[in-house]
Amino acid sequence: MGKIRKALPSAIYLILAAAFFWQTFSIRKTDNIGLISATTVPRAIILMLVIAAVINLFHDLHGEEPERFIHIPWKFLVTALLLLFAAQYCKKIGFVIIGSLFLGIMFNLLDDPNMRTTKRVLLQIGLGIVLSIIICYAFRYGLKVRLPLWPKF
Amino acid sequence: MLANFAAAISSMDIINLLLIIGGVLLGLVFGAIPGLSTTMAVALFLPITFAMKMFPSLSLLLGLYIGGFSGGLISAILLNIPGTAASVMTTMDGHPMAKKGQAAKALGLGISSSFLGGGLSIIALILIAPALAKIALKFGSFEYFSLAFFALSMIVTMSAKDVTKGVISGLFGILTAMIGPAPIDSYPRFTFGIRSLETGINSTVVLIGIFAISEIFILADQKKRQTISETNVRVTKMHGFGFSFAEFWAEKWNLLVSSVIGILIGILPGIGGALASIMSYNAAKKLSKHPEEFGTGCNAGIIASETANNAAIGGAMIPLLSLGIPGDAVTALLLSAFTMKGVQPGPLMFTNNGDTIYFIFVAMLIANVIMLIANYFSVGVFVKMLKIPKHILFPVVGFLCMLGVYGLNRSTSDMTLMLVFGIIGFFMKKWNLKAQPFIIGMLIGFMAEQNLRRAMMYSDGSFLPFLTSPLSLLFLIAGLASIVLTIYRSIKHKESFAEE
Repeated sequence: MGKIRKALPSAIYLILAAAFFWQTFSIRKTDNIGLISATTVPRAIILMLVIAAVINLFHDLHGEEPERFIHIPWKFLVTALLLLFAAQYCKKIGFVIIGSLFLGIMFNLLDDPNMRTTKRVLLQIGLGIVLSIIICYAFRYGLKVRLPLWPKF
Repeated sequence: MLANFAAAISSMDIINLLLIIGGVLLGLVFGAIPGLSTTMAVALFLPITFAMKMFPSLSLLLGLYIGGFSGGLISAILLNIPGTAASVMTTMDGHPMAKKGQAAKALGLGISSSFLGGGLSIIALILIAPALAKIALKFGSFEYFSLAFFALSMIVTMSAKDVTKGVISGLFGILTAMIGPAPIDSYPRFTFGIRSLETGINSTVVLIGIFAISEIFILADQKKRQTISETNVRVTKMHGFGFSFAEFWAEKWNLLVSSVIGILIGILPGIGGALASIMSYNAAKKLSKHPEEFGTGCNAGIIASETANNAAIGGAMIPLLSLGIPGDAVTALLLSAFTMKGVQPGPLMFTNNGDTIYFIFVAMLIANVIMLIANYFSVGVFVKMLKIPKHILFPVVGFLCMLGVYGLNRSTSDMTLMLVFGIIGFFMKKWNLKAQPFIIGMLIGFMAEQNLRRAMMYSDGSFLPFLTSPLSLLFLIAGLASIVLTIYRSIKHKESFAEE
């Protein structure tokens, strides 16, 4: 298990290098004016990356065992899903609601669990709503950034 | 010249002055919020200036330009999130200094350097604009590639503690820059079947993902719950700008060299402040008696980065005013403002529109002073931001980033990309890959490939012109020497460590 954890980062670098290399075959071929085509430099970079990843693998296998990559997977997942939800639905439901949801949930998610009380949770949700409204309107009317503020019906 | 200056000063009425102040303050906000950029500020306010006369519109736009460039240092120092690409190198020493409880000093150093770098570049613009513009014309694809190679050598030199990991990070940055249309033939590459990647990835989105969103993931994943006081950076009481004159004076040569680098890089069209700050940071580290202090929160690192990126402002104005060629995206927008008012920048502007030229000089000098004053009074407010608990501060910054990224192109796919790079940034931190080499690779990689391909087309496949051009040869030798020396030092350091 220890060796797998040590080797995992370098293995992922190599997989990514392979994915990029596989993509170089999809690049449309053009006349090689001046010897260098659209695939030449990327392949040279990928080759250097493979060499560096192999050296890194060698170093990591002889180094200390790293800590776990994700300690609290559910919190990581909730954060990622919230950001994904915001990206997918911001145009439909507007940034005021997206912001209120994001801030309200994140304030409580990242808060110290030992200090959590119902009053504190509600206060942080309220703070999220107020901040969301202030920030959205400041962006829209103060900084003139065009944003969808509210849901479109 | 003096008569022209006197005329320009008399044109500076209260309205113009207020517009400069408003522009600087708005620019500071745009620069400080990750995702919002100086270019965006100028683009958003450009239509408003169409109804104004020439001088008021220039006052507002130049205020936004100068304020925006200096605003980026605030979030770079306090939150380790560069507000603009030009502030990436400021995070290297600015944030470690803030973490030591010297946030006010770091901000003070950054602001003073921005002021002096900006001021020196404006003086250069006034005195030697046409002569300096000629230097830019000497740069062809060979010189541009060699310059990019020199900048990329920074990936190795800044990763002296673990060259392999630094190189991996930098190479991934270069590959990220290759996603989208290829240089020269413009066919999309590395899109992995995703249509929204065909136009490429905006560097601001990557910057925000890697630096800001990853921090939210790190905070969410903390095994040990921290108390509120533990999550904050220590804050000490601030006196003046937080540093002594002797400390600043000790960096006089660093400041001068960084200003010259900033001005020269600023002149080169299409390069901008990010490369200027990378190169001057590299130069400062090379010239320093204590290079090992760089990256740990030293004065020299902040001064080099912030002096150079603000010196690039005056530098970018030089080709615009003397040749009619915009040096960066903001000066391209300024060019359109000139054209709307019926003024054509170029050599003839000095004779036909002398009043406008001198008004620009005076407005820039005033905006630079206002930037210093505005920053001086706002430092205390910004430092107080560090007292906000992280579980409140970071989601708010994350939401600001969301709005900023959406505002770039009103694109939701940019927001998804921001999330993807946030996750990448999280794992980079876990696997000890520094973010800065990645960003340097991404900012410079495309420019390097584009100019290499263009140069090889000109030379019909021969590498010889890279060596026969003195400027190109100089950059290549400097870049190679940097790489070889760093690797040599790294091996020697490891050997001595093993012996101990």
